[in-house]
Amino acid sequence: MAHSSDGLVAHHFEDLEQQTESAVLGMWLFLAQEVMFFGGLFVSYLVYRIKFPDAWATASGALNVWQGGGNTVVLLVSSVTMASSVWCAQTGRQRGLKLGLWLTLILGLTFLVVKYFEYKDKFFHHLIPGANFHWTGPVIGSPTEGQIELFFVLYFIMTGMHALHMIIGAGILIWIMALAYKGYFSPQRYMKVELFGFYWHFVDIVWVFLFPLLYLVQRHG
Amino acid sequence: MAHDSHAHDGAHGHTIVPIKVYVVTGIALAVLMLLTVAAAYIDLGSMNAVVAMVIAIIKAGLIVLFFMNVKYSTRLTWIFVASAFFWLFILLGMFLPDYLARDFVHQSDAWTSSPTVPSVLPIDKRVLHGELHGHEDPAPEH
Repeated sequence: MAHSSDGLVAHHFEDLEQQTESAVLGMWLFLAQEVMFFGGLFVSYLVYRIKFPDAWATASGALNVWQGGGNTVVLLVSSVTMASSVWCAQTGRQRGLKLGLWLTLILGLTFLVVKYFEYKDKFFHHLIPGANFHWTGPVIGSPTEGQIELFFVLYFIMTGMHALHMIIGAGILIWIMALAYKGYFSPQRYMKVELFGFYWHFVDIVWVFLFPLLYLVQRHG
Repeated sequence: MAHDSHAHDGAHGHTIVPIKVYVVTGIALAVLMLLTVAAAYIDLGSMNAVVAMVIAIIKAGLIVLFFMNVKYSTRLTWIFVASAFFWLFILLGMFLPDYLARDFVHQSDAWTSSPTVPSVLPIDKRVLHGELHGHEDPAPEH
């Protein structure tokens, strides 16, 4: 088969299709590791939720469903814009690609800004685990303050790791945008955009689970 | 370039998914998200958590299949994806039965309190003579 894409296929691959598939597989190996990484945190959360249901119901009430839900929508839309960017790269739509990447970045930063306000709110309500932790809100059942603090330990670690992944993602996204502006991407060369899209969608999936588990514990009256 | 109404092969056999798929998937995800929030405010007892997780799994499935193009990928890719969630399943499947079963043997505090250790452990004699400077940990934690 003639290689119309000379220079795009590394010498150890038979053709571009094989190279593409191996790139996808490699990315999924990385994402499998990420699944296990966050999986460990989720298991910790699950064990203590089962053990201290009153504390979980109480503490979850301190979280703002509008901010959490709004952030869920923000990430959801950013996944649509990211997937659309990949489509633009695949079909040679350079302007659409740049627009899609910009929208994804702006939405990602919006998420982080909302997160900042949420964390700030926790700080002023004495909900940062540590010496100054003090629960002053309504209580469901009979939790101890230590158990409520444990919820917030998990809250900050899980959303913190997620936010760190978003920040790293934003950094890589800026690099991808720089490449796009240099005319790097074409219908023959777009895998960086697609693979970065995988990472972005994965971070979205993590939030899809974080939101109900942290914000929606026993919300009904 | 004409609008694609169905997925077709790209320059190198890699399926190009039409943008309409992404938009429709996004709308489906938004609807499911509203459903999650609405269901949270209805008292379903212990089913609240189950409903929330089932919806979350469906959303994750949609993201994996459509946004990440797994539906249009090779079987080998499917295997890699399935493995990731299979290992997660093992993690959950081994942890939960362990912790949930600890209550069965009347040791419900077995893993929230410290393990039982003999009350007499060899004490570092330097503690008795006041020679340690506070940053060591000579005695076992209570």
